[in-house]
Amino acid sequence: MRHLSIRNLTARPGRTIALGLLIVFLSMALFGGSVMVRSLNGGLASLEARLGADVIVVPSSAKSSTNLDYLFLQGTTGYYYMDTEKAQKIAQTEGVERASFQIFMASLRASCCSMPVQVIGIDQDTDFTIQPWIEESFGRRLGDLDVLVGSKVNAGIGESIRIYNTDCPVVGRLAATGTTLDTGVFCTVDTVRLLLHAASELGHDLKISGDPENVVSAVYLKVKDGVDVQSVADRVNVYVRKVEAVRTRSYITGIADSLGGVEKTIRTLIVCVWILAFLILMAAFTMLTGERKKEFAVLRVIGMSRGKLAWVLLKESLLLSLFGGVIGIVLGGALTFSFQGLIEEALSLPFLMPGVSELLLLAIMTLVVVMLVGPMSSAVSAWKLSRVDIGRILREGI
Amino acid sequence: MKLRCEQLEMHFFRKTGDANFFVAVAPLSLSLPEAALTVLMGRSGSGKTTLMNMLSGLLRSTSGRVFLGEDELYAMDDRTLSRYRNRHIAVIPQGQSALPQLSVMENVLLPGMIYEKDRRQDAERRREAAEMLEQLGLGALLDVSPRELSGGELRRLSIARALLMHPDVLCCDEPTADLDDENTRVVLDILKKTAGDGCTVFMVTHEEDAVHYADRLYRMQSGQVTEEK
Ligand SMILES: Nc1ncnc2c1ncn2[C@@H]1O[C@H](COP(=O)(O)OP(=O)(O)OP(=O)(O)O)[C@@H](O)[C@H]1O
Ligand SMILES: [Mg+2]
Repeated sequence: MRHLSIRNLTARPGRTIALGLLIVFLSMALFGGSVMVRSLNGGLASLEARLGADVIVVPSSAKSSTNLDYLFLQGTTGYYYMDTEKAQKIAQTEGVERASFQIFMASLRASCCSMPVQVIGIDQDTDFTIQPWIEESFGRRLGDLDVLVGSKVNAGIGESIRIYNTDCPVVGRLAATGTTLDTGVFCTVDTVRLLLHAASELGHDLKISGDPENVVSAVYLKVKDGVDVQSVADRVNVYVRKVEAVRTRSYITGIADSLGGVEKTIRTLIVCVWILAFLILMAAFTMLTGERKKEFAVLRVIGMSRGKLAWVLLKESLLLSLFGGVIGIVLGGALTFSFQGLIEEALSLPFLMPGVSELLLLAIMTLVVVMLVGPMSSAVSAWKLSRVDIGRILREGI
Repeated sequence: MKLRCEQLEMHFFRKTGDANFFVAVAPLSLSLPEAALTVLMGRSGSGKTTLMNMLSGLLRSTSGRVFLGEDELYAMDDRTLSRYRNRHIAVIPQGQSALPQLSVMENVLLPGMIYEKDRRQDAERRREAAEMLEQLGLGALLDVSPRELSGGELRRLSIARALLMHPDVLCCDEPTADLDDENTRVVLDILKKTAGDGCTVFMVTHEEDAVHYADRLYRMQSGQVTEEK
């Protein structure tokens, strides 16, 4: 009875559950939506960080822009190769500060391979795009046949992945990026070449014109400070034949644009849900005032002041908001978490869930907002109830 | 403590005849002695409840003043007056006034818990409440919900709740309405005894039997009060 508010709530479970559900819905929308927005932003940021290069050059047969999409968002790089000589020429383009190359291949869903994966070979001496990430997660150099796996590849450290009948030991797992790099397998350029040999020995036609020892798939360029990136890309396109140079910036901006659109939609939805829920809550609380007038007149008769009366009501809505808010956050979190893959696929945007501390912060913020809005929506009814004309209500007979 | 009013008057805004307000209680000065049962009788609509509510601090009058001892009720702000009422003035309203979400026991304990935060007295209070409910014939119903009680039982519950406040003033609005003779006698005896213990008891009633219990008797007609005993 020191907990009159609790008793009021438990005595009318139907009413309490209805109001509580509304609040659950509210906090679920806010928390789930915020996590989604944060995840999309995180995905973009991580993509931006991974794409440390200003310009990516691929053979024109790769139809660069779609392949960039493939490379980073959909997970199939396909096979495309150019001569090492060409790569060297590209690296020597005026205005280029650093250059590195990578070589791609894919394993098959066949008896020779344990699973179909993208294999990305990096040149550890010159790489500046993937290396920082590897250093973060792994911190050593890779030996021959050693592979690192992205966070979504189903293989643990100590196990090995069989690619074209070659067993590659998994030496490390990389942190999630929210991009399709998470489904990739990383190794040295030499390892990829070895695997290419193994593949052709098994009779697979990899459409390599020339010696596997002498090809690369893509060249990554970092432009010197102060040099116009577009002019470097243009120069490559003019002077080197049959390759296509793409600015990563424009690619990222493209993603950022569609992300902005999605984000705006989510935000608008959240705001709509909130306005709607706030109005419904307010209506619900106000509708309940009539029903509760007599109850509050009795409390006034036995000496409860207006302030205390308002506080009892406020506590009721605070309790409702607290429990509803927590349940909503848990549900919202669980939903976003379990539909992560679906959301990612549907939006085809990089999606990287924030870390525990940021999730916690978002949860606390959601709870604070819910616990402000809940009581606010009951404020009108609290005020009305605390002003009940006791004389009149008592005359009406309790 | 003595309850008294000076030139207490109540108007309600309502078009009646020439005036656009209706006089529910005409200017009235009255003094209710302590340790006495004062009874107010009158026809329905004569203004009894209005007067009682004003005297008990529940209804601010149009004009005039109400004093309990030296304290002027309507000079206090809501917080002070609420607390003051909780301490000194118990009211048994017309009709039923139990909170359905609490048990019978919790209902009678409630007034004592609004301002008293000291839990050490809980056991003592419960014991006293149980005794009181037992006396009023509700001993077997401590833990049931008021929803399960009859009209007479609900009335006795209101009385128990009021008495447990150990008030200086007890105001009851038709406490014996819709009670049978047996119950009416029980209630009137309790009120008489409460007055005997030093409380200022003010009862509004239709019950002619109450005349025999009254130390003082007033009659009310169209807002006018006349002393009869
Ligand atoms: N808040 C109000 N607004 C308008 N008129 C009111 C109000 N309260 C009381 N009245 C009027 O004042 C008159 C006296 O009402 P009151 O309730 O005091 O009568 P009563 O003597 O207690 O009647 P009963 O015996 O039926 O309880 C009635 O005519 C009533 O309509
Ligand atoms: Mg009345």
